[in-house]
Amino acid sequence: MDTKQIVTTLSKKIGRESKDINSLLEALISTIKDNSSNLDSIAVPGFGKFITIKEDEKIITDLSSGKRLLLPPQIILNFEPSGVLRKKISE
Amino acid sequence: MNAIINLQQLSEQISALTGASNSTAELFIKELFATISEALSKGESVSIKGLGTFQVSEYPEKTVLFAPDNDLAESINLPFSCFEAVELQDDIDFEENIEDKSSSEIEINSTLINVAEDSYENDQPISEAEVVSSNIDSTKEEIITEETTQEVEQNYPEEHIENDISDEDSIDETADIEAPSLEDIADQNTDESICEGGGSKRRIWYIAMLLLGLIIGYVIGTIYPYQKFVETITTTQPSQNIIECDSIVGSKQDSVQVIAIDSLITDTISMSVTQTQITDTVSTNRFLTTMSREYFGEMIFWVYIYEENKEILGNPNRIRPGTVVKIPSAEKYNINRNDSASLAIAKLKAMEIYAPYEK
Repeated sequence: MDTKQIVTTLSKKIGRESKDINSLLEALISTIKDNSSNLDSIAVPGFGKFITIKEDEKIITDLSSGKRLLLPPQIILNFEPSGVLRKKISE
Repeated sequence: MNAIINLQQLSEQISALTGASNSTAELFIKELFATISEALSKGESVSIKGLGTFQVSEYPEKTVLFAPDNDLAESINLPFSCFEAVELQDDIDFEENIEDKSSSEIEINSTLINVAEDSYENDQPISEAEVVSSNIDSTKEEIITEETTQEVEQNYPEEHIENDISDEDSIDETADIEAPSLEDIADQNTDESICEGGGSKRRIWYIAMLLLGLIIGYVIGTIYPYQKFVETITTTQPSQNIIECDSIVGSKQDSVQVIAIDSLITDTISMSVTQTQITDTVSTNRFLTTMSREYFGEMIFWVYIYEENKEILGNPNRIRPGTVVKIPSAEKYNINRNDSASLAIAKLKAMEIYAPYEK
């Protein structure tokens, strides 16, 4: 399922134009972006949690070649599915 | 920071951005994620542009996989976008590298700049020295020093009326090249004697730049100034110098270069100094010994400055301040500070000079 399909389904469900849905979706993505940049987590009931984790810089070693790489710090956006979603999928 | 944004806050933020009502935003979020979870429960993967891809995992312990979109990942990691993964050398200390990464990079840059500046500084005087030294002929050195003095005097104190303006310009050029090198090379000479124990890297750079200077100077020194030099001399002072110049050009041009290259490696600076630094003035705190140490590296070689000026100097201990003395070239008296024989001869010479005044 891609963005287009989701937008058309949502516009049917909510009863608004796909243009409005598109702008709402964009707004949602930008809020997720902002909150994640602030290292905040976003909890969506019934679906799951978007968790941001900051990793410090680290050195990894390639065992095959023996080369060492210094990786810069980074923020990782993880998703943790809620129990409801897990149940739904496993059914 | 590390707060948990709930549905209420999220819908508020969205409504603030879009202008839609709070309830619409809330409904939208609920419906969106309901649609996604429906699709996931059917086993489909959902990819939303700008957000990422949700996928059902094959492993039971992690039911849903989420891969953030590249745009999203990049904008979240914007604060660290200036860093890149760096491959480490084997002998680098871990902690030092991590802590001082940025500062060490800055240091490297600054040393590079320093080296560049050094090379620029080294390059200039050496090439000039080569320009001068390419004019040196071991047999004709006195003549050439006289010629250079004539050149300088022509350009500075007395303003000769020249028929040909282009000739005068060319003289100006040669004199200009020689003039600034006096101070530079003198400075460099003293610097060298002070910091002789400098790092080997610096020395390698110095030698590299010296060789570069030699090559540049060789090209400039042989082709361009010689022609100009001969032209200017023949036009301005035909009667005196034609024979000398011819002999230089005709017989000695090649051997001059060989001599210059051989001796330059050891004595570039002192040669050029002695060739260009023609006169100096004695003052209350500047004696023959001071000059000798500056130009030849040892105080004892004052005897040769005395020898060069013995017509105007009497008792070496009673030279009047303000006396202008000529500085001879190092080759003329075989002055070599590293040669013990040369030092011994100078000492004998000093005794000879003092002998008449000790009675």
